[in-house]
Amino acid sequence: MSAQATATIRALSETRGDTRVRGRIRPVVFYSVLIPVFVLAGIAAVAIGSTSLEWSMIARVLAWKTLPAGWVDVGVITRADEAIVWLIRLPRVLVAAIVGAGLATAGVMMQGLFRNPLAEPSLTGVGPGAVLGAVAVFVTGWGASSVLALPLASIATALLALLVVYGIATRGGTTPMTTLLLAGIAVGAFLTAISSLLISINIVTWQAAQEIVFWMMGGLDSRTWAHVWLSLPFVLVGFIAALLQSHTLDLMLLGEETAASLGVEVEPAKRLLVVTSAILTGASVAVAGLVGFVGLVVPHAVRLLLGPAHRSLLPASALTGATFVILCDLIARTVRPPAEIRLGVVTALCGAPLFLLLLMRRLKEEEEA
Amino acid sequence: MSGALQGAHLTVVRGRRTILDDATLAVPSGAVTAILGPNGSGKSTLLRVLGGLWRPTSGEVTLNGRPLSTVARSEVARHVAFLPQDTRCDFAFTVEEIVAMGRLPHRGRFAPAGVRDHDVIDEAIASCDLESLRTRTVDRLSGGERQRVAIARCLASEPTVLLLDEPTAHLDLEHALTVFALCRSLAAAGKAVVMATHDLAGASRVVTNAVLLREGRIVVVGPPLEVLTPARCREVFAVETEVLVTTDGRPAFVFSSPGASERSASSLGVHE
Repeated sequence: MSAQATATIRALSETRGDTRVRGRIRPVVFYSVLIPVFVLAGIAAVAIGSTSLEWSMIARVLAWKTLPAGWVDVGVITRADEAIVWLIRLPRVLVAAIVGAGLATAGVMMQGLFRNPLAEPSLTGVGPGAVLGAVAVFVTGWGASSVLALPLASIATALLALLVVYGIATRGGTTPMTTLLLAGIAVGAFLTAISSLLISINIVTWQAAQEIVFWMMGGLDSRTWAHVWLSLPFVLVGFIAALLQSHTLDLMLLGEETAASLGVEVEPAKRLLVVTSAILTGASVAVAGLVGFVGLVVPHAVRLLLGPAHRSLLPASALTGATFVILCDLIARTVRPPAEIRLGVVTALCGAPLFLLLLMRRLKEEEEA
Repeated sequence: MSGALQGAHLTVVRGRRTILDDATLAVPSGAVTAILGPNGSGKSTLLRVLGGLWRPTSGEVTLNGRPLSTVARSEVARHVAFLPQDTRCDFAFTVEEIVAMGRLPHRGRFAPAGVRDHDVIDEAIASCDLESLRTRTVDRLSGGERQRVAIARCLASEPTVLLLDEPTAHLDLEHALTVFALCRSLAAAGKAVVMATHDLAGASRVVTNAVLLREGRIVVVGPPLEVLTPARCREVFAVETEVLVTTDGRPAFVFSSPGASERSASSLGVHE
């Protein structure tokens, strides 16, 4: 064997041993911290409130509701305990988790698709579209007919807005991402203006105005199992679709030409990714209103810890987003009882400083490098 | 005419502009082909059309005799690698992760990378002199280092045809020569290597085949000595050319702007 070959083999075996990447943590470490935090946050969110509950009572109610009849002694469970755990707090915590996971996943996808770490889920007109649907329901009074009228209307208008934006940005079968972004911003501004117009010419009562403003600030008050069952299928399907596209998302980060040269059918892939992220965003906004900063900060933070490869980034961001929103909602309803702070206010108050912190850390690292 | 990749009467029209005009050429296996021409002559367009990234307005590209438009993108990806001009990536993938993406055309959607994948990745990293940068993230690399990573990513696909758009741009002299040498050895191993380049002097020492483009039309195809004649270089690039023969017997081209010799002579106070 030549000396050069020997040297090459030695170099290879040395580098093989050192697979650690500076600044990143291993997924095992990440999950062994995050999973317990997620579970504890969930339990705490069910336990803490105007009426505090023992964790054993929570466990008993959950066991009674999920296990076959007769397995749990129901004698000590009062109707009030049952209502608080099963009908009020648990669905609220679940909706928080679903919304957090949905927005974080959508954020990862949009940032990958636009090759820009500052992209966020509602960029393609989806957010303003969802708002318009909700406002229409408020001003027409359809909301009174069914608890699902509002979320269904806002998912429908969100997807409709995306369709319009995509149609405008597409010429001859190709959709340049910059055009999509610009069309999304313009259509978004237009839809927001229509929402404002509807509010300003139709509001008759102060209460209706407050309801709309509150909805636009995001919130999870009085969420029921209906909201869970409405949002869960969309977010679940969206998340699985995202996971199936994780290699495509990786390749898209190298640019469309490189992605195409490595086997990606770029235009169909973009359509699939945009629609998936719109479904995730639409379903989240529909049940929680506008909850900002989750789709921006969470993917960013997780990417710093685990790296940009989507197979690990997507599930980790979904779990982090779920935990983040559960905790923010817990803060929102316990800081100043019995009144609630709006969820969107808390996520922005926590998210924005966090984002600045990450930004400053990055700038400092770049100075040192 | 023979070759792994052939283009027949390729024309690309964008709006009212004809970017590529009736280009017919064969990309021979076992040779390095340089696509030469001034800015805007259609070099990148020709590469993109040959790689199937752009569909020609008219004309057809065939890969091993099959029309490219009938071959699935994933299958084209296993045969043809493409190095774009812009290899910038703001996301913190490691060098190894980027090179590993070159294996994706050969892997199923959920198949983990196998032993062979790792071997090919190692080999690609070694041949581009990247071992020491393996776990570094690409957003912190210099332009030249990034270029080598992108070339290694192309090699990891084990393509039969490599289409390289300005592979030596951003590279210092040492690494530019390494890339040229790499191209030669890939050609010697039977691959078809095509590079669009502005480095006429450097490329002409490596390539066996040159294609000269001007305003979207192929002017001439042939060995560098026959393609880069002083008359053609004056016509296409508006430069004067002098051909020298170096000690290894290969031609070396020296270019100068027209009238430069008189200007420099007069500025030195020399009069004929």
